[in-house]
This record gives sequence, C-alpha cells and structure tokens, in this order.
Amino acid sequence: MTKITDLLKLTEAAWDIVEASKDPNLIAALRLLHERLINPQSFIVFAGETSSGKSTLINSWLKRKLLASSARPTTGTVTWIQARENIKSDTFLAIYTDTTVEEIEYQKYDMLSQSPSKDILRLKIVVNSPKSCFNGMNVFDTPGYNSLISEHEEVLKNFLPESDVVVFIVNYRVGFGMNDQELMELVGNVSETFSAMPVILVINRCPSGISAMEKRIKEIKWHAEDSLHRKTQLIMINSSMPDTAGNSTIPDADQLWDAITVHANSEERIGAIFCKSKSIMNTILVQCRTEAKKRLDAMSIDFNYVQELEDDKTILQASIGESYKIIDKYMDRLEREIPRIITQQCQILKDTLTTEAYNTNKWTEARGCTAYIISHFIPFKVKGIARTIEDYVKDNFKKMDEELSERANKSIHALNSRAECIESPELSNLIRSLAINLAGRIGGNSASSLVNGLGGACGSAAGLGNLAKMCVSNLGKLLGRKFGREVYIAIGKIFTKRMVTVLTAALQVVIDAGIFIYEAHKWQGKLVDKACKALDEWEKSTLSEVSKSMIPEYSKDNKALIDDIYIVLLKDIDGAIEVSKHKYTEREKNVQQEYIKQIDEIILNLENIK
Amino acid sequence: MNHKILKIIDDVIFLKLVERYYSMPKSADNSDNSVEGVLAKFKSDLKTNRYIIPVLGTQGCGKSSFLNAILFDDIILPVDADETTCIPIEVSYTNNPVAEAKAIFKDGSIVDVPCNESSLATYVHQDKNPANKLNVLKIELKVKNPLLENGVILVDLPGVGSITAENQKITFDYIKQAVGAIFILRTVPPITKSESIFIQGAWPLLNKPFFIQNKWTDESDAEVLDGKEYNLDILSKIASDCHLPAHDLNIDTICIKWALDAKVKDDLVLLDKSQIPAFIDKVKLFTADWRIQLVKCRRDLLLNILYACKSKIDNQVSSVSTEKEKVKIQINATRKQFEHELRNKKKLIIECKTYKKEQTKEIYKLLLAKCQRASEELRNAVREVIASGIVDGTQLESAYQDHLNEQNEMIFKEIQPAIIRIFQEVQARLSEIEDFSFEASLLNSTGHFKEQSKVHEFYSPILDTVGGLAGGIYGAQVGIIGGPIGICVGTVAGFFIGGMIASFLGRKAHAYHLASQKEEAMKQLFDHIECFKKETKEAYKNTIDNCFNDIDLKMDSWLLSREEEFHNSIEDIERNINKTEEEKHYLLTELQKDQDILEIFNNQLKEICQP
Repeated sequence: MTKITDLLKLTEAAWDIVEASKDPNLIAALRLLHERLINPQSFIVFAGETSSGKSTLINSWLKRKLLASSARPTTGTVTWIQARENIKSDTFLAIYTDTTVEEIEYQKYDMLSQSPSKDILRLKIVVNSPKSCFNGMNVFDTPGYNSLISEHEEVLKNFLPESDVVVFIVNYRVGFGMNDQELMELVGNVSETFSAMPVILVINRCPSGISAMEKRIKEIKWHAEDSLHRKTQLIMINSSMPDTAGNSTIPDADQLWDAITVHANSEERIGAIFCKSKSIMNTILVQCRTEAKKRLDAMSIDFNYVQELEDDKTILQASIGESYKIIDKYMDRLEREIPRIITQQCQILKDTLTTEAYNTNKWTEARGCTAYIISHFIPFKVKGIARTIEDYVKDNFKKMDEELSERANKSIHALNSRAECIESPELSNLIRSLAINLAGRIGGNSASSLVNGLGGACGSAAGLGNLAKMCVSNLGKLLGRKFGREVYIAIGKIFTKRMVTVLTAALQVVIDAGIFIYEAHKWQGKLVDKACKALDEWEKSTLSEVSKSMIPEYSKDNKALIDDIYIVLLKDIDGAIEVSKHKYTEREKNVQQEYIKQIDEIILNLENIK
Repeated sequence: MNHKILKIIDDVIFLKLVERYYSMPKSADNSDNSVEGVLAKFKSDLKTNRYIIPVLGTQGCGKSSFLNAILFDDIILPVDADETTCIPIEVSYTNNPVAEAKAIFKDGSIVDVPCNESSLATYVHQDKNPANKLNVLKIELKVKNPLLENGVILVDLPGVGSITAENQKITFDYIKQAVGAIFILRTVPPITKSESIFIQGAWPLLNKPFFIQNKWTDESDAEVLDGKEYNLDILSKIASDCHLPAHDLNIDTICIKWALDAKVKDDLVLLDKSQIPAFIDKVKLFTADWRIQLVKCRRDLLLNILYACKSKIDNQVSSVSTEKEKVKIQINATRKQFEHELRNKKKLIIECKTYKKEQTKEIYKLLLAKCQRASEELRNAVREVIASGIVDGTQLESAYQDHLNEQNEMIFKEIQPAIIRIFQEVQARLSEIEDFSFEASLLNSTGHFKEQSKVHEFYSPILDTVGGLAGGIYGAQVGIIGGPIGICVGTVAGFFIGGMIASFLGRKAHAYHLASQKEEAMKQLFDHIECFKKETKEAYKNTIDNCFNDIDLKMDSWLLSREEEFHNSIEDIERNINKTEEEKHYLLTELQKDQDILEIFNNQLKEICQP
C-alpha cells in the first residue's frame, strides 16, 4: 500500500502545478485520480436473469432488506450501492441522464427502482458499510435482461471494463438458459478485451444438501464456462426458508461476500490500480509540460511571425479537408457495395432454402423442417452474410486508416520541414511541437482521449472507476490507436446484431403462422413463400439501415475523430498567436521556465515510485 | 530440348561414368537410389509432359463457362449454377480437329462420350448423376487448342466451399500435382471467408496462382475496380499470413459472358474486350517458360552430377600426380577442415532441431487453445440449436455439421500459417547449413570450388523465389537426385500440408442416428465434440510430428552421406598413393580419358537452353 500512499502524496504535491495549467480537463483528471487514491474503491457488478435473486443476495450483504425483491421483476434500472464508513442513515440519489444528481426520499426511490422514468440514468444508495472490509465497495445491481439483451449489453459494456469482480447469478431451478449464455458470452468478450476480471458464478436457491458434483450443478457450470471461455469460481447458495410468519428471509451468503472481498483486496488489484494511476499521473504531467513549453515558446515569438503561424493553420486545414474527402470516398464505396452484397447473397439464400425445403419428406417432416429452416438455416446463413459485410467494412476501414495516417504524416512532414527553415528558434520549436503533437494524436496519445476516459460512458456523475477507462486509452496509445478502429468496434458489431435482431423479428412471423399445420402437399410452398417474404423484409430493412444509419454513423464518427485530432492543434495555434500578441518581460519568461522545471522534478519523482 | 537431355542420359558411357564417380546420397526412405534407378526415373519424368492447371472457384463463379470461353467455340462443358461438375473434367491437347471425350469410371472402364453439353451432363451433372451414382472417376476431354499444345491440362474441378470431403480430396490431389492454378474470383461478393480459407490452403502448394475476376455484364467499371482492389487486399493478406511471395500478385479482370457472346457472333472486338485472349497469352507464356525452366533444372542437375564426377577425378589426378608425403599432409589438413566443418554443421542441425522443437511446442499450445475454444463454441451452438426446437435427427445433424465446419475452418485458418512459418524458417536455416565451405572441404585445391559454387548459384535464387512450399520446379526433380536439402524439406512440407488440408477442410461429422430424445441427442453430440476436439488435436499433431520426423531423417541422412562421401574419397586417394608408378601412370591416363569424355557431356549439356 505504501506505493499508493507515495502516489497520493505526489498528486497532492502536483496540485498547484496542474491547477496553474488552467486546463479544466487536466484538473478534473487529477482530482479524480486523487479521490480514487484516497479511497481505493472496488466495483462489483451483479448480473443474471430476471428473478435470479440478485437483489436478495445484495440484501444478504447488508443483512437487511434494503432492495425490493420478489418473484416478479423488481429491478428496472441499475442500482448502485456504495458502502462508506460512518454513514448514519441511507441516502437515496437519482442520477439523471443529463448527469445531474438529486437526493430523493425512499418512497420515490422505491417507485423509480421498479418503473424508472426515461430521464433516469441510474439510482444510487449510499449506505453505512456493514463491515470495515467493505468500505469503499460499490455494488451494481443490474436489471434482469428478459429479452432486452441489446439494451442490457450497452449497460454491461459500460460497466464491465470498470469492474473488479463480476458476480453472475443463476437460479438453480431455472438453470443456465439461452439468455444466460448470451450474457455470459458478452462478459467473456468484454473481459477478453480488457484484463480477465474474475467471474464468480453463483448458483442461487440450491436445495440444501447438494454438492458441487451434482449433475445439474455440473451442467450449469459447464455451460457457463463454455460461454465465458474460461474457468469461473463456483459458489452455491442455499434457499432460505420463510420465517414462521411465512415471510421471506435473507439467505446466508457470507461465503460469496468473503470471496468478493478477497478479490477486491487482492494484491493484483492493488498493483493494477497503482500501475494505472501512475500511468495516468504521468500523462497528466507530460500534458502539462507540453502545454507549458508551448506557452514559453509562444511568449518568445515576435508578433511579426504571426503570419507564419497562420500558414501552419492552412496546412492543417488542408489536411482536414483532404481527410474528409478520403472518408467520403470510402463511405461512397461502402454505400455502393454493401447493398450489392446483401441483395446478391439474399437471392442465393432464397434459392438454397427453396431446395432445402423441397428436399424434405413432405409427409413427415413439416414441423422439423420448419424449425430447421427458421431457427438454424436462415439465421446461420444470415450471420454468414453479416460476417462477410463486417469483414468487408473492417478491411475497408483498415485501408482508410492507412490513407488518413498517410495524409496526417504528410502534414507532419510539412510542419517539420517548415520548422527547419524558420529563423526564430522559438517559432521553430513551436511548429515542431505541433508536428509531434499531431503524430501523437494519430497514435491515440491525445489529451482528449484521456479526458474522454474521465468522462466515461457512465458519465462523470457516476464517477465510476474511470481508471480502467483511462488505462484503456493509454493502452490505445501503446497499441497505436488508429482512425476508425474504435469506431468500427463500437458500431460494427452493433450493426451485425441489429441485422440479426431484425431477422429474428421477421422470422417470428413465419413461426407464428404455424406453417406445419398445413396439408402435406402445401406446407413446403407456404414455408418457402413465408421465409422468402421474411428475407425480403429483412433485406429491405437492412438496406435502409445501411443507407440511413450505418453509413452516416460511420461517416460522422470518423469525421469526428479527424476533428478531434486536428482541431485541438488549430486551437493551439490560435492560442500561440494570442500569446505572441503580448510583450513579455524576461522575468515573466523566467517564471514560466521555472514552472517547467517544477513539472520536470515531479515527473522524475513519479518515475522513482516503483 | 528434352530429347537432347534424354540422349545424354541414354548414353551408356554417360551411365558408366556416373556410376564410376558419383555416389548417390543416401535416401531417407530406402527407395531405389542406384544411379541407374534414379536416372530411369528421371527419364520417365522427362518423357511425360503433363502440366496440370486446375481451374478453381466457388460454385457458380463461372468455372465451366470460363473453360468454354477459352477452349471451345461453343458451350461444351455443362454450365449450371447449382452443383455442376462434381466430377473433374481434364481437358488436354489432341491433334485431331474434332474434340473427343471419354468417361473414366472408378472400376477402370472407359466409355466414349459425344463431345457436347448434354452428353457430358449425363455424367457430371448433379441432377443426371446424383451423388455420382454412376461411379465416374473423371472425364477426359481432348481438343485441338494451341493453349494446350505445351502439355497443359486444364481441369474443371468440384466447386470450392460447399464441397464434400471427397470433392475436397479430389481437388487437393490435383493441386498437389499442379504447376499452377487459376482461381476465379467474383466482384460481388468479393472473396468470402470460405473462399479465403480455400485459397489459404491451396496457394502454398502452388508455384504459380493465376487470379482472375469475372466481370458480370451488369457491373460498372468502378464496381469491378473496387472489387478487384478489395480482392487484392485479401490476397495480399493471405500471402503475408502464409509468408508467400506476392511481388507479382495480380488479378486479371475478364468477362466470360462477352467472350462467349463474341465466339457465337464471331466478334473479335468483343473478344478482345473480354480480356480472355490477353489472359490466354499470359498462361501460354507461363507454360512455355515453365517448360524451359524444367529443362534447365534437369540440365543443371545433370551438370551438378558431372561436376561432382569431375571433382572426384581431379582429386584422384592430384593424388597420383603429387608426391606421397605432400598428399598425406594434404589429407590431414583436409580431414581437419572437414571435421571442423562437420562439427559446425552438426551444431547448426541441432540448433535447427531445437528451434523446431520449441516452435512445435508453441503450435501445440495454440492448437490446444483453439480446439478448446472450438469445442466450447460448438457445445453452445448445439445447445442453441436444440433449444430452438430442432431435434429431428437429420436436421440436427445438418445444423451441427454447419457449426462443425465453421469451427474446423477457424482452427485451420489459425494453425496453418503458424505451421508454414516454421517450415519456412527451417527451410531457410537448412539452406544456410548447406553452404559451400562444406562441399569445398571435400576437394583439394584444384580450383573446382568456383565451378562448384557456380552450380549452386543455379539453386540459390530459386530457393528465394519459388513460391510453392512444394519446392517449385526444382522440388519435384531434386528430390530424386538429392539436391539442396532445403528444397527436399520444402517438398516434404508441401506434401504434408497438402494432406492436412484435404483431410481437415472436408471433415464430416460421423453420420449417426441421433436420439429423438433431446437430452440424449445433446449428450451424443457433446460426446462427438469431445471426439472432434481430441481427433483434431491428434491429427494436426501427427501431421506436424510426421513431417518433422521426416525432416530430421533427411537432415541426418544428408549429414551421413556427406561423411561417407568424404571417407570414400579419402580412401580412394589413400589407395592411389600406394600404387606403383606404373599403376599410377595407367590410372592417370584412364582418368584423363574419362575427364575428356565428361567435358564433352558437360559442353553438350551447357549448350542446352543457351540463348
């Protein structure tokens, strides 16, 4: 823990320096880092099917019935329970989508928790820590997913990277179903991208006296691990009997909470927090130094050189314009080619499904054939089409990235060669630092990516473990973030998912039509007819999705990334022009020099903490 | 040119001389490696001029139409979008202006078939000959077409992608014998996942892949260009994944429809526009060049043998014409040098083996992880399929097969490049081991090093440029005579990888009667998944192990041959120095005579393929 304390002291020592930068993002970043170091919190996400008993298990932690729990779905939104020391009474808070926070009465909380209004982002309860080892623990109770898996996915995608432990709850009697499979796969996918966070598999409401070797338990664990693609820690919780008055009681789940505490306080986790925090601190300081150096250079620039800076702006603006053109070129291609692929593949699919249906024995296999065509054949092939498109998009994005990077490199080169020719060493330095900054931004090393991390998809109101997010942006730096890649990951998969969802809806109609009850000599024709109609519908809505939503989104997000990369540089130049308008005394310049020295010293101290 | 080489091989004196002075390297597999046997095999290879070029592409991409367009004036090969040509059609040259066709059956019987679309369809069309109930092995078609004049055999093969294990095997059997292949790609969709897996499997086995993209008449130039650019990217990626040279990678855009229309209407302008004539020229150029390269390769190998004989004679000449004591000193020095080199080589070979071992371990790890992952995905797929209400045996099996294929491809896609990478590294290391100092140390200082190194120069650029793992032009030939070991390894690797693809891509779930009861069916499938996991692991492991053992044997026997060769030549020299002056004089005259004859053969050989 001492290294965490050292780091904490350093953040305090750096306070004035970072504040002097006047950069609200850096100040906010330091504040958050400081908070997290004072109070190293842990984040535990509870996930599981509706009525698997998530809320009940959280109640067992608090040893009281704080959260509503019953057989019908009770949790309509994410509820965040934070355990702190010395809290006299529970505080209920509503966090709105506009990130405002409001303290509310229990009654309102109770109402909102079951039927949240649209503007609710999540609910929060601050409670007194049941035990000192639970101080700083943040538990997230998520809604059961019913079939709203895609919405749930968005919630989990935001939460999982921040989590220290995922508790996955399965009801013994219900077993591990298809929804569980999908959710667990999601947990596996998300945690594969980040470090493999521990997953505790809780089988809830087990009959007393059964062992982990029991067939059903083994099946659930097997299925869960097949979906997660790694081992889980299994904890079995027995059903709790109602009390004499017939009221439900809180089950004994101490072993679960002990296990959570072990993970939350593990050496690895503390080590990870340290590494992440150190790296964030470093980014903040380096950013401060870069800004300070830029200012110092600008202070020394003769106002006569302002025209030179204007020229640099022109270079960057030209680069933005050309980058847009590159994006447009690729978007045009996708817009033209994707529909062609879809239409053609859809036709092939219709042809093969017709053959498939007519090759079946018409007297005996109506029901089976329908199930096969609807539940396997079409979805399997459509997923294949979706993957073809995903690959096509991915490959095109890769090429676009290369072109955009090349364009940016051209600007870097132009700036550097200008820096070579300029007499004023200060201006030359400034231009060179613009080039370096641009190079860094292509690699993802930008201040805004750090700040985006701080804001987080969860919103700063949640303040939820942004460290992981920041670490991700730093990881991006290491791996070389490229244009488009993140955008692709963000919306490419969602698009595929949407394609499949649309298909499921279209096919449901076929199932509802109950084709298999038709007479033997007619059902094949009907099935083919209905299935083709469903495919037509799917094709139509997918094509419209491509042109109305997918391509515009790709285009918008990629252009936003270009803006993100260049516009800050343009602002830098404007800032420098502004600074160079004033005449600075030697003393003022010395003060700035001194400030840079102080930053250097702290960076050196930071390096020494190991 | 071939006949000139044949004439030399057929020369009794040549055979005698080679037998006298050339010791065949030991073969690792105990095959006939007497000089006579090897030269006979060499001869039979020279006599058969068969350059197989399969035409490959996914179903409905226009393979048969393509062949119709380039070979015939009319539609002869049956064209149909669905499951056409599940039976290979070999098209080769005939002098007869009337095309002929024969159906060859699996039992060896042959039937003449009228050479027209409907007659051929009787044998090759899925509708007419479902599941090949007629047991046709292949169709042989002969046509008088200049493209085929050089001995080129174009083969219309079963479609890529949805093919059965048997079709897959047939396809790869042809690919293994092929000198090149023509892949037909489409603009829409561009190369799909299953196509790319197929290409990934086949390309490393080929010396020259031709990629053509068939333009449909409703496709605009921009669309075709887009598709081509995309396809090229995919191909470059495959090349880089499999470490294949891709400097001359290109896709020719052709329009089969225009070519066919042009032939019907006799419209030469349209024919040119279809780009088919330009492509034909390209293939012709390649096959003509290939022939020259093959002859050159054979010539070089014989030259190599002659050099070896000549150096042996030189050794002997020098040993009888130099003072006894001087020779003894020379022998000692040479022995020392040889032993030093031998130690070096042994060390390098051990290093190479260690590298192989370590890399194999890595592959096993990867294999384990991939198979584990595949089995997990498969079980979940089965759970999903059953949960969705598919419980009927046939349909459940067919759904399972879809998922099984998917996982199979995934494993192959990941593992194959890793294996190829090791082979290539081993190959590079081995050609490094085989540098000249070793060979040179066998000889005394009569200036033959330079000549010898010249021979080697014939090989070295080939080692760098030959694309096919199978070792290219040289691979096929060198294997017999025992040329550079790197190429031998390539041949081995090519053979195994070819086998691997054939056995994996088309793997099928065992046909079984799945229980009608859900739980029981699930259990059966889960058992099969475990089997699949185990078998896949074992099969890949065996492929790698067998192949590497073979390479080890090759390396060991190569080293042994070198040792033996050295000791034999030292023995010869020692025998010579103890001869009487008279005997020495006689020997010298004989050697001189032989040397002169060898020189004549040498000059004759050198003249072949001279510009």
